[in-house]
Order: sequence, then structure tokens, then C-alpha cells
Amino acid sequence: MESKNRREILGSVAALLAAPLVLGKEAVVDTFFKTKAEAEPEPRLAITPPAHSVKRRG
Amino acid sequence: MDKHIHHDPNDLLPIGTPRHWRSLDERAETPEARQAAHDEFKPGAMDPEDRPSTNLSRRTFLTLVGATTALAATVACDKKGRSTVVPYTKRPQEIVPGVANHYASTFPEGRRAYSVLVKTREGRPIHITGNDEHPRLKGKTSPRALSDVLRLYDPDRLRLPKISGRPSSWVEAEQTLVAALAAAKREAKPVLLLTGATTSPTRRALLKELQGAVPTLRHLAWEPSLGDAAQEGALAAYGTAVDIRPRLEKAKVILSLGADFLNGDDPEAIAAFTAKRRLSEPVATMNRLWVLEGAMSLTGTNADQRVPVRSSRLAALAFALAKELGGTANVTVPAGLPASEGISTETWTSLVHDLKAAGREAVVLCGDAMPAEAHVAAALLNNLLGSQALDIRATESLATLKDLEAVRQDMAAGKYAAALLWDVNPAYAFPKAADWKDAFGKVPTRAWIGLIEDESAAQCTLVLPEHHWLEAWGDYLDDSVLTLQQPTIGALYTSKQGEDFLLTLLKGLGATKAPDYHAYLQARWQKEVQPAGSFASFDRFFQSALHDGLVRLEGKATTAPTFKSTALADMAARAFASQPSGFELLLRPGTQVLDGRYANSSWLQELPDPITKATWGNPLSLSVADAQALGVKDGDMVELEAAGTKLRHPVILQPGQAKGTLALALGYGRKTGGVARGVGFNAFPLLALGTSDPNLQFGTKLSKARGHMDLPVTQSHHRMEGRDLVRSFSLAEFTKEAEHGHAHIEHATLYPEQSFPDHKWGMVIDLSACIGCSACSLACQSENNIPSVGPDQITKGREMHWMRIDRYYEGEIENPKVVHQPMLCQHCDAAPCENVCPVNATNHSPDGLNQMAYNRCVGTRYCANNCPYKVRRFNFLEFTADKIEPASLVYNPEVTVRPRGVMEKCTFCVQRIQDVKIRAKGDNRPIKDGEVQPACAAACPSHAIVFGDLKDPNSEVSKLAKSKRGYKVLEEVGARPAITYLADLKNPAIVSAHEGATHE
Repeated sequence: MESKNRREILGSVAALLAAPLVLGKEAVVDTFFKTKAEAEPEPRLAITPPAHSVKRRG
Repeated sequence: MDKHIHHDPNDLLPIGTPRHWRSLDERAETPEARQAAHDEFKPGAMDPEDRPSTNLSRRTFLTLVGATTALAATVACDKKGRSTVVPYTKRPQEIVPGVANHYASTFPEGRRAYSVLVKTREGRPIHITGNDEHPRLKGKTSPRALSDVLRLYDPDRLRLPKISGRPSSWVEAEQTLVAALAAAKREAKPVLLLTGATTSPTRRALLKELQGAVPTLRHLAWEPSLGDAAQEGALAAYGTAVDIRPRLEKAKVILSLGADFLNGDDPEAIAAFTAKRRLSEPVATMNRLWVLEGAMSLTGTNADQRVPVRSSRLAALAFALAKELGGTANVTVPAGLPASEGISTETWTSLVHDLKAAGREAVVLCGDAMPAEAHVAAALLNNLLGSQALDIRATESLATLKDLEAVRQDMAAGKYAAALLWDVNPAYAFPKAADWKDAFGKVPTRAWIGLIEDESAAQCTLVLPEHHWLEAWGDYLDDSVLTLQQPTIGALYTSKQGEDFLLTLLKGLGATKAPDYHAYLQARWQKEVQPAGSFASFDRFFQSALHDGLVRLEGKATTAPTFKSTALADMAARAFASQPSGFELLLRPGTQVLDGRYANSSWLQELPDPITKATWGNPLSLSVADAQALGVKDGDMVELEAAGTKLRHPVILQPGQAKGTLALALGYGRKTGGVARGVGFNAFPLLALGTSDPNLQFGTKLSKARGHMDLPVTQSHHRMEGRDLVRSFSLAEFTKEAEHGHAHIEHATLYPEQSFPDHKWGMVIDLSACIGCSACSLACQSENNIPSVGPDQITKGREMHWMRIDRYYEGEIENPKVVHQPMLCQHCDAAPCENVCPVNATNHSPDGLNQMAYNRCVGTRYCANNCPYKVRRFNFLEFTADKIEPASLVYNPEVTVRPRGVMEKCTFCVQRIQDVKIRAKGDNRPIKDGEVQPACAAACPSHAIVFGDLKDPNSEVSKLAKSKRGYKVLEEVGARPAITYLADLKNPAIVSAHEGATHE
């Protein structure tokens, strides 16, 4: 019984420690440390309507 | 046994349908084929190797996730990841969010130009269809035109001009080239301008001006896809290069000598051919297609009577035919023909009889890749028949490989001062590419303008980005119809259209004042196109032309070139000459990629070849007999030696291919392009330079090599083993069936009768009209945001096409008949898939659609397991995750983009149905028959797919569903599909032994 409880506790502690590494590494770091500002995303492509074109229907 | 069910075994299977087979394994009933029939998904489809390898069990994973959730809550208030929505400060007038705009334009491809309608949403083109105003195309277009919207957003598109590899500006590039041209003019040194073919009168005028400004300019127009032999044949037969257009509405008998006129490139010919085959009643006036060819083509699969003959012998047979028709007085036909080519007396006599009986209503068409003498023989036959079923027009000659070789030699000798390549790729498509590159490198100023940097651009100092045709102006002349091309979107990058670039050069040389090509085009139209004495202002006239996309020209009819018999004897001698022993290799343009210009389109790479169903590559096809002699099967590697070049290549066995022949598609094996690189093998080096017919190689050596390649082929899975799926009758059988009638099964059902209060959408697919071109499949992919998955996923059976074309063979392996059957979700009223979904993600709508709620689906795949038609597609992976921007701009915003883990299938284009319903409601009127057109029906060039309301007894679909040829696939299963198929009809001259036999 005791060994079962110990196993469960150890398992939860391991999960708490390991989970950020598997999935939430950035979450842990960002919670406690300031990170650098993210790089500017690439500018989006500009969609401009055609000049002088005549549509059939809209 | 329920007393309400009528069990008449004869009704379950139609009389006279021999067993159909889809692959050689299936026909031979190998253990692998039997096993595959039992597998719902192909082995490997559910392999987890795509996920990162880990020993983590699911339970441990969930344990770890629990802790993460707690931590995630602490950063929930983080403001990172917020993006900004920026509204229009000045909304473009024509753009209404949620409302599509349509523009008429033209898709140019070499000597053809397709008038199209481009649908745009929020200012970006998303879908292309044919222009319904075009008098001959009538709203249809080619499959490559449908797919080309993807290339507009190709991430590999060149975005900035480059000089010597560094980003530059147009000004600098133009100054450099103007200086080079001016110097060449001063020193009287030649300048090379190598372009593709064009039918644009305005571009031709511009090129003429450039020629005037630079007298030493040497302009060559080159189309690698057309080959040289056709032009040589035309020059011999007519004294000029010609453009031959079949007018099949006037033809009762069509003889094809390796001509693939049904491959999708000529929607007008397809519509005219199939119009005479969509019979509701047995009539005696069905046309008949004879095909004599070496390698199986799409036209060959639609033949009423096909005769496998080596391509090199077609000319000899054609001259022998001419002799039978009373021509060729000065030609001696060798004894033994046609029996020496394996043609029986019965077949030959039938062919001669058909041609004689049809007379002026017969036409002979010859394939571009066939030898010159075959073209001359075809011209002779048409002349003897007095054929009215084709138009022959004189056209400009194109450059041949011999011309290019002469240019290469001059370049190697240092004669050229400058060279400009525009929409051509000789470093890839010229047979001796290495020699070309060496010689080209000696030209001091080398410029290239195009869409995507290719093998030729890599050699150029000036590399300039060109507009996509959807961003450009132009006009194209086809007979008496002048079509316009207009931009449907502002230029995405710092590109220019080629004509604007030439205008800038002209301005730099002081030769023109036109500000841009748009102004130049308008000036020419005002002068030469606007009818004289027209009351309308030019602006009004031009705007009307832009609205329609075309103008019909009234002018004097041009005289067709007349047949000349001067070269007949020489050509006949060439036709009858014996050829070296060994295999005969036919090199023909890829059905999808043509000469390689479309190789970077994932849609086209993934579209299965209509015959082999191979994707993402160009296996070498050979006959089954030759494969057995060599000891190879599908995917085995062979070593091919031709034209002094050796290639290791995978093979694919092709039933119906003539013994001793090999066929290979051009346009693969590209070295540039994120999609095209490394796909398939470059076959251009195998073209025979210095011969009159480079596309046909004799004395080819073939030997088995080590190695095997798993070919990504789609046909071998999604099978419906052993059931009556496709029905094909001869005209005689159809007559017999129609006289005796065919009782339909009445199924009892446990389910309550469904009611459809307003509409009941249904479809009819006419197998007699379907030619297998796959335009429907491409249109569906474009309309419904269907992802491309790549060759690895295809080998696992994970292709995502909602509409597939099943290709069935019938009869003997050496010369089977072929039937194409489009297969899509049948929208069954008693759908087996709907009952088994544990979360009710798939259910039935009140207007008869089987619909999917994507966000309910949890991915059990039980529905796909239960679907008897195997039309459901599962997103095994996040197939859209690999998209490189701006590729996602091609998405249709009216259709969900499905994530991983979700099932999808044909929806009958429910977004189009809803759009029409909303418009009709707004107009306070009922929906007209034919107003709702799913993408597949709109794209089908042969009107094989008809969609409409089955509740309306006057609708076309309701009338066709009652046709005597009508049947439902797997009707005995009781799923009550909403799609009725009309049996394929063939009109053979000779009825073979198995026709009329009962089902095995």
C-alpha cells in the first residue's frame, strides 16, 4: 500500500517536472522569465484589385 | 425471405456484360489482389511512422498532459500571439466581402488560347471555368487551364529582378539590356529572342516593332510539346505549316492515327464527338471512332474499334488505305500489308468499308508525335475522302530542334551578342542540354523572363519575374474569335508582363511611345479591331469586349491550304522503309505537365494519369508480353538506351500497348521548383536530334536493371471487387436491351420513407460521354480545397480526391476495351455510412444530401469502412500544414479547410447549392433547372455529368434518370444512391466473341 502511494506520488511529481519539457517548455520559461520580443513576422502579401479590368458579374 | 423483394437473378446482373478488371493483378486474381479486396485501407495507410518515434504510451502521455494544463493556466493571460486586424482605409469599389466577382480572361498555352471565367473572392482568383460566351467552347476549358490558378500563388515564383544573382531593380535590368541591344545594333551582331508560340496579334505586332528596332534580332518561337514531325509533314503536304482543327459534329467516322484529340486539350472536339454518343434510344447514327496507335492514349480508350500498331507503321498503313480508296497512283504498296502488321482481313475490310461509306463525313487525324510521312498520308486520305469534318488553316512555322541546334552552334562560335529567353527552357528541354548550356554561356548578355526560376534562368545574368497570365493583359486570335486577357488581381510581386518589358526596351531604343502594354493593346484595338463606322465610343466597345471576354470578328474567310502531291512518292518510300530492330520508343508530352512547364503544380502532379493511374512521375510503359519476356513487373527498374543516352527507369505494364513499343512522358525530372524537383525522369535527352521525327526512336535497347520503385498509383485501391459496377454495351446489345426492357428491383426497407419537401438533388453520369479526362476531378479539387498529399501518401492509399475516375478494362490483355467511370459520393438515401457514425457527424439533409459535420467527426473511420463505393477520404495527417505561403490564398472561403482526423467526401458542392438558393429567394423565384452546377458538372467538356432536382419531373436530370441505359451502381445493396449512371455505349465495327455472353 505504502509503495503504491509512493509510486503514485513519484509519478505525479515526475509528470509535473517532465510535462513542461514535453509540451509546455515555453510556458514555464515565459511564466518566470522575460523572453526576447518575437521577430517581426514577414509582411503579408498585398492583394490589390486589378486596374482597368471589367468584371462579368459580381 | 421478405415477400416484397423480387428476386430475379437475371435482373441483378445485366445481360452481355463481360467481367471488367482494373489491374493485371485483379485479372489474374493473385493472392495479393484477393487480400487487397478485403482491406478497407491499403496496408500502411494507418502506419504511425509519420509521428515522431517514441516509447511513450498513451497513458503516460495523458499523465504528462495533466500537469501541463495546470501550468498553461498560469500563462493564459499572456498577451503574446495577438495579431492586428486592419480594416480598409479606402475600400476597393468592386470588392464586397462575401460576394464573388467573375472576370473573363484567356489562358494561353502555345498555339491554343482558352477563353475562361475567373472567380475571385476578396480580390483574389480562386477558381477558373470556361467562358460561356465563347461560341465554340461554350463554357468548357482544358484541365490545365482549370489548375493554373494554383500557379499564381506558387511560393517559388520569382519576386524581384536579379542581376548576377543579387536582387536588383527593373530600371537597372532594363538599362543593362538596352545597352546590350544598342551595342549589338551598332556592331550588327545577332541577338537571340527565344519565346514560346503565340496566337496574339498584338504581341506579334510588338515583336515586329522590336525586329524593326533591332534589325539583327533573330526571333524563334519554339514549342517542345508539339514536336517537329507534324510541321515537316504539313510543309510537305500543304507547302505551309498548318493548324488542323477537327469539326467532329460533321463526322460519322473518325480515324485516329495516334492522334489524342480526346485528351482534354480540345473541349470543342470532345463536345462534338460525345454529342453523338449520348443516346437515349438506340439509333443507327452513332459515330464510330477507329484508333490505330502503338501506345494506349485517352482517345484510344474511347475507341469503338482500336488496333494496336507500332507508331512507325501507321504511315505505311495509311498509304495502303489510300490505295484502297483509289488514290496513290504513283505509290507502290508493298505486298503483305496490312497482315504483316497483325491486322486481320476482317478488321481491314471493315475499316475500308467505313471510310468509303462515310465519304465526306469521315476524317483522318494524325498525332503530333507521329512521323512526318504519317501526317502526309493523313492529309492524302482527307483529300481523297473530301472530308468536311476538319478546318485547315495556314499558320506560322515554329522553330524545330534543327533550328535550335543551328543557333547553338552559332552561340558556341561566339556570334550572338545577347540572348533573351521568354517562357522557354532550353537548358531542360533541348536534347543535348549540356552542349546548349556550354554554348549559351558564351553569349555576353543573357536575360530570362518567366514565372519560376528554371534550369535556363540559372545560366542567365538577368533573371526577371514575369506576371502570371491572371495579372496580365493580352489578346489571342482563334479562327474568327478574338479573346481578351485582363488582369483579375493586381500584381503580387515586383513583376512585369513580358510585353511590358519589351516595350521598355523599345522605349530605351527610342522606337515607341506607348506607356505600357495596356495602352498599346487599346491603341491597336482602336485602330484594327473596332468595327469601322461603329456608333459606340471605343471605351464602350472595349469595356463590352472585356465584359464578354471576346469579340467575334467578321471578315473574309481565309482560303484553306490545298493538298500537294509533289512529295508523296518520297514520303511513301519513307513510310515503307524498314526500321532497325529493337524497341520503338515514343516520347510524348505529359498529359498533366505537358513539356514540364506545369511540373511545379502539385494538383497536376497528383492527378492520376487517365490510363495508368500513376501519379508523381513518368514510368516507362511497355506491353504485357514484352514485360513478361523481360521478366519485369510494375515498378521494376530497367535500363533504357536511346539516342546515345542511357536512363534507369521504372516500368509500368500497359494492357493494349503494341508489342515492341515503349512510351514515355516528357516534362518530368525537373531540377528546379519545390514541387517539381526530382519528380520523375527527364526524357528530353532521349529525343533524336538531327532526325525528322525526334519523338519516335528506333532501335531502342531495353534491359532489366537492379532495383524496384513503388509507383504511386491510385487504381489499385478503393476496389469494389466482383460486383457489377460499370456497364458497357455495343449498339447492337443496347438495341436488344431496349426492345426487351429491363425490370428494376424493388427493395423493401425497414426505414420510413424519407420526404424531401423542397428539392431532392441528384445526378446522372453518362459513361458513354465520359472520356476520362479528369477535368471534373481537378475542378473539384480547386473548388473544395482538397489538399495534395504527395507520392509517399499516395502509395499508402491516402489520396484525397473526392471525385475519382475508375478505369476498367474489358476483354483480352493485348487489346482490351476501356470504360471510364467517375466515382464520387452517391448521396444515398439509405446511406450505410450514416447509421454507423457514433457521433452523428454524417447525416442526411432535407434536400437529399449526405452531409458531413467536420467538427463533430472524431475519426473512427467506421463510415469509410461501411461505404460500399469507397468514396470517403480521411485526413490521416494535417495535409494542409505543409503549405508555404502564399499558397493558402487559393482556398475557396466558402468551403471549410479540413484538419487532421476528419473524414471528408463529395458534398455535391453544397456551397453552390446554397448560393443559388439564396439568390433565388432574394429574387423571389424558383430555382431554374441547370442553375446549380457543381464544379464537376461545370467542368466536364462532354456534358457527361448532369445535376439537378429529381423532384422536378421536367428537369434534365429527372428525364435522363429514366433513360433505358440508366442503372445505379450496387443497386442490390439497397443504399438508394442519388446518382444514376448511363451505361457506356460502343459502336464497334466488329462484334467480338464475348460480346453478348452472359456474366461469368
